[in-house]
Amino acid sequence: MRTLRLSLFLIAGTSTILMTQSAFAISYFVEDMYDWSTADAACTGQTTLSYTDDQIRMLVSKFDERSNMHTRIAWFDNDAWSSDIAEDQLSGQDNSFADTADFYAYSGHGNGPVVDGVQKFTAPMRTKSAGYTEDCHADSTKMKLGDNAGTYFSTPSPGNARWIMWLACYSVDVNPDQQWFDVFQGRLQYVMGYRNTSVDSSNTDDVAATFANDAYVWNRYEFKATWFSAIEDWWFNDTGEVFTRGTSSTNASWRRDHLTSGMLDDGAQNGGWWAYSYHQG
Amino acid sequence: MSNSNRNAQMKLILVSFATLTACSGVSRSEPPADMQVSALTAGNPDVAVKDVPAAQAYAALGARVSNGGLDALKLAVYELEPVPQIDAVTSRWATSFGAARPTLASAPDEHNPFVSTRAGDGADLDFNALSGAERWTNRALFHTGAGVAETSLPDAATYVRMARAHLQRTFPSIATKLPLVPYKVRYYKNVVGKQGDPSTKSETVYQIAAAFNTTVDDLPVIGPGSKAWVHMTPDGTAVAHEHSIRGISRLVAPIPSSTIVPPEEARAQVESQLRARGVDLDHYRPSRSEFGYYRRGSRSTQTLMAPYYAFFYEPTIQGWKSLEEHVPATSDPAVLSMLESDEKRELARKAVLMKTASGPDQRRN
Repeated sequence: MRTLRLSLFLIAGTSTILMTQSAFAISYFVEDMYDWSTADAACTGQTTLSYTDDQIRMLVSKFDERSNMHTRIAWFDNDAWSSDIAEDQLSGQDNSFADTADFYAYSGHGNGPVVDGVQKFTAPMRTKSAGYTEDCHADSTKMKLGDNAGTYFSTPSPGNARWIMWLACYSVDVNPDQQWFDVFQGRLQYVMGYRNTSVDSSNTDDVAATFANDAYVWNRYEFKATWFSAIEDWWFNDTGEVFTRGTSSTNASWRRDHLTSGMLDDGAQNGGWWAYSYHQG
Repeated sequence: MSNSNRNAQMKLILVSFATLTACSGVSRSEPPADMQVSALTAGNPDVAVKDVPAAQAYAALGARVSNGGLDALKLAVYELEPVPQIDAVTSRWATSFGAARPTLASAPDEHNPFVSTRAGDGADLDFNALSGAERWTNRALFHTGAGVAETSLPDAATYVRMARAHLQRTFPSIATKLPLVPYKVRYYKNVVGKQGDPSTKSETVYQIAAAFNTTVDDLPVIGPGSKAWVHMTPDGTAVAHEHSIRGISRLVAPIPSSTIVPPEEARAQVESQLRARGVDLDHYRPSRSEFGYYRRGSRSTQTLMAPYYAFFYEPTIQGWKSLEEHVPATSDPAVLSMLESDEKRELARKAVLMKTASGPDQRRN
């Protein structure tokens, strides 16, 4: 596995270590929902949340510290639509939105329903685009992300997504292989989220920004360690979970533990093995 | 645990309590027996108590409001020790970890509050100059270790003992600030498998973490802060630790028992606030109710510590987020004013963190 860790640490003077920002460019697209009162009928009735908007605003602000972040899109509340992350070949618009960026994040309610024995992930958003045949719920079975050249969904619009983060309940849950394996369509490498519920609290509003600080701005740690550390505050019992794919048991496990934002795409994420991690207690 | 170790630990707790009492500048009395954390942990010093002490304190306080006896409860607002000076921390790192003294490119601020360097063994050392939290991370092993069968692990108390020994060895000053109580033990699990072949699925435990909470006047600390934790490999090798514990420098003001807000009144206050924000509490149920000295998290700023209530709610509709809110446990205007000023500093920190250059974008379709 080739890695690209650019400017991770600047050694200056006698053994003095300074953190320096990563040099490679990353694009991102982030959304949140906190008020569903004007949502479509299928999504209205969700209770208001108090801190999801703060989570995404802090994340955006953190990314903005990174001078070489580009193609920034941040849509809040009324602008978060289910079609934004639905595959364009399945009548969604991910080719214009979520799948145009390297990194996608969403903060809001989320669920992990089991349909015909298979768990998926859904998230209620405000509405959908006119041509989308599904409703206002983002639905993992309609997501085909990072569909680059040569993959079935890449025609006519290939995708770019490499990493996605769900700040939502049940987003990487007890059967993440069922939820996310088929979403990987070439370039997507990593999914981060919550097992079971996640809390809406003033004490957790900086979770995403904390993750971004170490994973993207300073590129210090692997996604797994960074995501778990950002969530871990001990008082809440929120459980972070990560999921990835690989070419073998060893490869999938290695990728789960070691992937970083600076790693070059070697195609191993298209392998037939999966690996995930979480905690109990 | 041997008797000598247990005795040593109890002595440490007593010394810590005496230190706190001395630092507070007044003669403090213990809380009533039904609220003492030490009573809960007596005889079980290595058992993680989770959030039981805070729930117990909440219930006991409610009983005293109903039946009398609030005067026996001596509560106060305390000032936390200031965040250590950077030079003091890095000097200690140099001595304890063989770490190089870092040269700062710029002064720590809200965007990057960390002072970081590398220990002699290659581990990362981070100090949050705004909150005072300190962290040591062996990045080669943290969340990257190999897993073992869960059935092969020793019991949770063993990991609590190993974590305590590690903290005493590497951060001996922590336990002199506030008494430590085993809080929670977590098991980090790796799962791997081949798509479409359930027989290949395997699950192992690769890391165990033991956390310690703190107490003030033998009452529990609630909130995410004032904790210490150690992450370990299954064989007990420490791979990371962090603490967000600051001691108490002085008693700022006693809280008259007549100003203590009854628990149900505090709950009504929180629920009124939530409903005003549009939260549909008809589809939530209370899941945790806690009372104790409140500390914000390891990334937050805080100078005062006071008794608070915390209320957790779980949704009855699957897919909704759970909720947490907290409020001061006193109605004393002077105390509330002090706490509000303290919280304003934290809100100002967050405002800086949300101050993005360009704000939300406009939808294009």
